Amino acid sequence: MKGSITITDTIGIIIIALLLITLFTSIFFKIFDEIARELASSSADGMARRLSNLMTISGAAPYYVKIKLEEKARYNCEVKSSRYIWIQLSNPPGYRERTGREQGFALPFSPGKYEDVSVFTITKRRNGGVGYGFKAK
Amino acid sequence: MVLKRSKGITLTISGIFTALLVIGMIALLLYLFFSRVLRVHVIISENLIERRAINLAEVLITTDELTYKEKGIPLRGVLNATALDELMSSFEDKKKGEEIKELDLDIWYPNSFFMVSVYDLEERCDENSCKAWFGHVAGETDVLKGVSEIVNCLWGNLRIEDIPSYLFGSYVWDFAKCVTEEYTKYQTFVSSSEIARKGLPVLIRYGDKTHVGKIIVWGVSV
Repeated sequence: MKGSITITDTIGIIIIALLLITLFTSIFFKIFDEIARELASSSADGMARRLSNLMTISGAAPYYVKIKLEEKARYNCEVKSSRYIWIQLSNPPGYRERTGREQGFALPFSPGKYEDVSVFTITKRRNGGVGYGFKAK
Repeated sequence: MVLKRSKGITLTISGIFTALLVIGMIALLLYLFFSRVLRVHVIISENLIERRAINLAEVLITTDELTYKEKGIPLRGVLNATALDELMSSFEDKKKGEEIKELDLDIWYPNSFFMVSVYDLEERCDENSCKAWFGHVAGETDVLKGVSEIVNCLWGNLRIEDIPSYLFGSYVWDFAKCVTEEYTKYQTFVSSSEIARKGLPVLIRYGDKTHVGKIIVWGVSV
């Protein structure tokens, strides 16, 4: 009869509701988490934060250290004399990522500009005094 | 079963169920979206200064100028008391009315300043005496103005009777007392976490003797 409800309808709605809730709470969030993690790790923001951290913490090595970071994504980057590292994705996936991101670091690295790079090397060396180096290719 | 029948609309139990389900799903999605996105942003904002303070503390306890060396190699986490006397200020300096020393080690973050304190936990510490060293690290800044005034204000407000509470990790430099209008213009981050309060463990070397101590790095960043 038009406009009436049957037991099959009710059971169907309940099953669909349960399925949707299960999907949202387990599968979708797992997928969203994966996507968010991927975006966070390859984003200019995340990369600038990671590199600035590694550049500063390289100073915590008592003698010598060489840190090599290899990324899947490719970046443009600039180490500034004002102790900021600027990072931008070479092929930004979205509008927001087109602008670069900056993060400060605490040690005297020489300034330099690098384009379309994915391998970053940070060194602390001793040749009479302590020196810090940053390279990217 | 038809609940209501009027011109152009037929409301059924299944219709109500569907509507409730849709409303519930939208509410759930909105709640989860906002709660998750908001949480992520808060963590990133709060972490900036904490991360910098921890990194700075880790670098300071390894730096050649402050550490005790064996065969020319600095021992990480073992600070040289003579170097601390030379490079940092003590309560005796404060009593003499001297300004807090800047730790001039070429280690600084831009647009930030940090207060560094080192405490000897094996020396008696009360309102009369306390073995502690203080310094500040100020980076080049094109944003923060009046850093030296703020640093001097913080140094001026530091009282020896507060130190025992420092040692139990319940008190850090009170930025609120010294904040100026300049700082309210920007989103400033002030360390307030457990790591800022409790610090990192260090050893302090006095000639042949070694005492247990701790270093606290606390700061403000933009």
